[in-house]
Amino acid sequence: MITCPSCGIDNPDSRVFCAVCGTRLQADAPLPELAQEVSPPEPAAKKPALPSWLQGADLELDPPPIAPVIPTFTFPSSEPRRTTPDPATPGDWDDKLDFSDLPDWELDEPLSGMSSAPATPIAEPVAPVVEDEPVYGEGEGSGLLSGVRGPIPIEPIVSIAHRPPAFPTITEDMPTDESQSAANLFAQIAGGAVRPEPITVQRPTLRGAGLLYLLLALVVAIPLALNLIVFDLPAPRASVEAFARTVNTLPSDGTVLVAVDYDGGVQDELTPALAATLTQLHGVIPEGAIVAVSTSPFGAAVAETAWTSSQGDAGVTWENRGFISGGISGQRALLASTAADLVIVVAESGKVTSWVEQDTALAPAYPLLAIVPATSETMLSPYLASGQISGALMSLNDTATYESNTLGLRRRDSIGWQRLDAATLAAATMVGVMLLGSVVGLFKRGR
Amino acid sequence: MSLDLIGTTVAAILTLFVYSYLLRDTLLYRIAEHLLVGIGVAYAVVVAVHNVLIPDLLIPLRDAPTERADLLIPFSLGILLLAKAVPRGTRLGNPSVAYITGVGLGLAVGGAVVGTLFPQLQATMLPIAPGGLITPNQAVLNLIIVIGTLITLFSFSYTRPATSAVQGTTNIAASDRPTVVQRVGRWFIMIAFGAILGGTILTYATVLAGRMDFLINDWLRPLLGF
Repeated sequence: MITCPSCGIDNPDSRVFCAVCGTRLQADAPLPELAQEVSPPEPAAKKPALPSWLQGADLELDPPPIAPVIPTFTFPSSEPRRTTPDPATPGDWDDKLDFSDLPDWELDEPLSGMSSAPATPIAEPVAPVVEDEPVYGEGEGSGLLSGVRGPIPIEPIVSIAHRPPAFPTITEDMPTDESQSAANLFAQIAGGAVRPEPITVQRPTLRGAGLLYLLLALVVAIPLALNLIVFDLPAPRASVEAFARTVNTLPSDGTVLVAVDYDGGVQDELTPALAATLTQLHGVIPEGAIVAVSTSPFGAAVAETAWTSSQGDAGVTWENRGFISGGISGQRALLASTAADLVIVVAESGKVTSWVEQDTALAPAYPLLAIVPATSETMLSPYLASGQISGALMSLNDTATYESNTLGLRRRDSIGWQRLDAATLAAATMVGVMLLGSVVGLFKRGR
Repeated sequence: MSLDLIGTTVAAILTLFVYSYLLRDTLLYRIAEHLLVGIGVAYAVVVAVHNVLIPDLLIPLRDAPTERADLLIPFSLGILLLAKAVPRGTRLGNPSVAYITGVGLGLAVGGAVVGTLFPQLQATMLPIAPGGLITPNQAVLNLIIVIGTLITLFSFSYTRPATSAVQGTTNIAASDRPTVVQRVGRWFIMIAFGAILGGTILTYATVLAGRMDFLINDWLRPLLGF
């Protein structure tokens, strides 16, 4: 590091000039390419001779600059314009000006709304004397108006006087320690000596998060791998019983429209329920038909997977119509053109809501059943309470009780029942960790 | 190794790729993510073309152009909609967008009014006095439902002015909302959000159990032969 002899700031060794004050640091160091001294320019070449019509003229080649008179605008006042300074009002700028130089026509009849500040008088230009002076025609002006045919009244230049912006003045006080340290830091950063470090986001350490992930994985994997029965199967809810009862009331040759409107995100929760429902339909409508539709492009494949997973005789007719375009318009058109005894919607709350609304708008509306994930249970409850939906399977719990009580499946044949213990333990672990974290956080904040 | 097991193995490997995000944003996770998006979009386009455009539009126009001349209208609107992809032709696609938006909004609003608003209003008109078929417990529950519905509606910020005390009025809609109502309404809203959160956690746990069941029972057991 090289210390500047002028301001005392430390500069890197590679610098030739100080980064703060510009003082040359190394007298014997070669100058950078851009700082090479420039040799003074060669004297100007001799000027060419003047043309004949300008020769002999007494011209001033370097006339003094003409100071333009910029008249300032002042609002016309009702008082008569003063032409002499008023010693009673000191500080008025008029006092410092001498009005005696103004022409008579200005004093007698001042221009409306205008006042010209008698600043530096106009330096009369030197009129060139030439031999062959062009003859001006009658009516042409002279002096500044030379060459202009006919006197043209020139609009006065009106400008509003304004005060220049007030720049902060440089104090002559000694710099404080804080300002000096800030200046030193700035010089170091500008000189490249200090490189500001990027702000790094604090991420949770793998050790703490990894233990939680491992705990969650073990809690879920062990019951599944060892086929453990941890909890007793709960009693079915009223919505599950209504669901099963509504399916059981179908005629043997009835037609059921199944709308499969979910994607792979929740298929682990909805596909077992749909497969169980199709299994029940096998036994209820052996001479009937099941028509599967979907307003999602992936619904047809999901429906086919559920049909393959269902169990039963091959008596019922399975028709997978696939993708129905148009969204809500497609739903409305399908419901209006299809004659079905029951509509089963398998989707999340948003899509179920649109199916319910379009079905209710028809007269008469079809009986409606719903299969939704647990996260949509709260949004679906009002439609259950109002009777727009006759029954619903709303979680893995409902699926397990439906498979056990309605279909009479044993645990090893019931997908929902097998996964219920693992899912319950996982949910309990998540809630327990969240509560523990909240308690610890409150305790730490309380300290 | 059967074809099913190969497919299951690919699915299991991609599942583990996604789970690698637990460590950090890894290349494996990016691969799985890009595969999901790319295959999903491609599959959706193929389904739309083969299940909708070809059988419902192009084939009828080709086989019976005179009888199905009405299909020229949606055909033209669809072509104009493609102009949205070109900056200079954006205006040409406006009629198609306007038609789609108008029809969709009309059906949605009509369905929401007839399918949700009116039935829910009807369902909220519950008897709050015990007697007859209404047990005291049911009457209390009905009262809670009615009060909760009204207070929750009143507590929304865009339906109430600045807080001030109620000095006794019969026209609740025209008066200022009291602070007590706002607080109680927010409690009801928070309880509903808590119920939704509980359902969400249960869904996440179910999905986790489903994936672990797939990895253990559908992939590892057949792969290892036990």
